[in-house]
Amino acid sequence: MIEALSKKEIPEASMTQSTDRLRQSNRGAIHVDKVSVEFKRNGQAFSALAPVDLNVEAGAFVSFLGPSGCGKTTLLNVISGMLRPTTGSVQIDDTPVTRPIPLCNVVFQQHSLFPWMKVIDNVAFGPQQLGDGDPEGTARTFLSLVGLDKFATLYPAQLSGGMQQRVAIARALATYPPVLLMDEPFGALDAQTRTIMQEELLKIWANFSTTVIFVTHDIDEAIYLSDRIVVMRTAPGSVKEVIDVPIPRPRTPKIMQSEVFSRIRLRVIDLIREETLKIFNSTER
Amino acid sequence: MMNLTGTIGGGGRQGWIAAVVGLAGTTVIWIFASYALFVVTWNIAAGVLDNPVLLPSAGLTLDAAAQLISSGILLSDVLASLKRVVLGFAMAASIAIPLAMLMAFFSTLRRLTMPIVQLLRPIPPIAWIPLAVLWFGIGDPPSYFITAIAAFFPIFLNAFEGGISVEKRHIHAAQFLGAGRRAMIMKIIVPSSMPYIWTGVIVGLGQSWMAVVTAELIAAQSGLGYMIQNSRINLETANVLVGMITIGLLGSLMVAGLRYLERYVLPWKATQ
Ligand SMILES: Nc1ncnc2c1ncn2[C@@H]1O[C@H](COP(=O)(O)OP(=O)(O)OP(=O)(O)O)[C@@H](O)[C@H]1O
Ligand SMILES: [Mg+2]
Repeated sequence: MIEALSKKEIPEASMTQSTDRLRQSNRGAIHVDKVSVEFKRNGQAFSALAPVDLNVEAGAFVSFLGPSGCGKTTLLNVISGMLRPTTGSVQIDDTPVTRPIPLCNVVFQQHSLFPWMKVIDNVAFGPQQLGDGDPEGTARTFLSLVGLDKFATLYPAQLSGGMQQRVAIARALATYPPVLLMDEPFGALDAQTRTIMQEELLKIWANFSTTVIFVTHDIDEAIYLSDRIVVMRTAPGSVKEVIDVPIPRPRTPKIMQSEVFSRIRLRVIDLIREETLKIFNSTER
Repeated sequence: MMNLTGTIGGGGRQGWIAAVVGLAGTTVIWIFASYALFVVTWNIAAGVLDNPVLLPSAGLTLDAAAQLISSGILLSDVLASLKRVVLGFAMAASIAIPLAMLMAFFSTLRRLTMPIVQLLRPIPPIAWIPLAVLWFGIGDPPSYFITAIAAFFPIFLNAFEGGISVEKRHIHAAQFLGAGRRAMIMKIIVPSSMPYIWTGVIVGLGQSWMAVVTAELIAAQSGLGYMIQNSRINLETANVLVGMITIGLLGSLMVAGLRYLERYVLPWKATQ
């Protein structure tokens, strides 16, 4: 299953991901270099991202926090290649990202599973495209990883929101992307499911070399999951502060009671508050 | 899961017939009641008019039908019409669907050809008959042309709608998963457009069936349209009615058949 991907049929874009795999953290370094994004709004240029510089080391789990509208999704879209920045560039390892390529994958709040494919075919699609010798087998492995092997022959619409998100994660991981971008992936789930999904995500991530960028509004979630937290400045978006989370792994929800955790939480709340107030003050005038 | 077995496994024989007649949820009994009401109204009208040339009774019409069936005339006309519909429809679909997909994804082609499509679309199939006769004479070929024209626009416009409504997030997801051009078309774009294409196919087949009768009234010497026209000239009104009812029955059967097939063509829709 794993060796299969390294055969020569693999398209050029995925060559770099083919050789090193599980438990190796030498793929998936992200370099964001002076990226800015301008949107046209009613004919006027609107700056959504000021030049952003950001380096994420291979294998890190990094969260983006910031008030609504500060540009988290925009930055994620640039990193994934779905949006061309107005200036600047993005590299994953040594490959410039100018369009969506298999070096990375994304999981959104609203899943992007293919409704016309059964769950198993959704997960097998990537491995099949990238020349895996046994896409079905790989898909089954990943489905059991997220505990959904029994639902393989259903269509996405027949699953609950939480299950759909798990399939989306399985599908994204099944091609072993060096980078996984997640934009509020658990935003639509209830608190209980959400907690369980967070634990599951950490378990799965521990087995992969994948670099994760995780966007959320939930400060506890961000601290619990991440190695580092990027708090964003707003209007236009940029990096305000990067905070390390020096809590050892494996982590359990218990760490939320620890002193380090509360200290980081207070710091993050302060920073976000500053930015949120900025929006309020600017609209009042 | 419940829903899946409910729609696909359940239903049984009655469900199947109801689906075929195209009245989902209606029992066979209701269909019979509806037809009985139709026949009673018809017979009352025939009794009031009391003139079999203007309106023969249901009984007379049934006699005519029996004769047309036993002589084999009805069957040969039905087959002639069906052949024209199937061929014209197939030609239309095989051009309309790929063209619509190309136009949905290549903006230059779209800009260049969409105005032509918009210009031709409002022209009813019947208006093409003079050209069809000039170009193809009398018989099968002009009828193929007319049925194809009639089916083309509903199929094309729906397929195009499907093509432009393919979601960006699905295209991107496929790119992240390493999809090549071929897989992108065959496994993402086409299935994503399929619900629209299928609607176009159902509407197109109905249009095509209506158009074949029109074409045969003028441009053919066989088929249900020809039979109706010929019977009118001979004042055999009962035969006209047999022809009309056959057209209605076959038309609704065809559409109902396609609606029944839908669960196989769009299996993921059947589960919702
Ligand atoms: N396609 C677009 N056209 C114009 N403006 C846009 C577009 N996409 C985003 N924006 C603007 O760019 C800014 C950043 O948006 P973005 O979606 O990145 O914010 P966000 O941090 O993800 O917010 P949220 O937390 O609410 O998801 C917002 O002001 C938004 O209105
Ligand atoms: Mg967002």
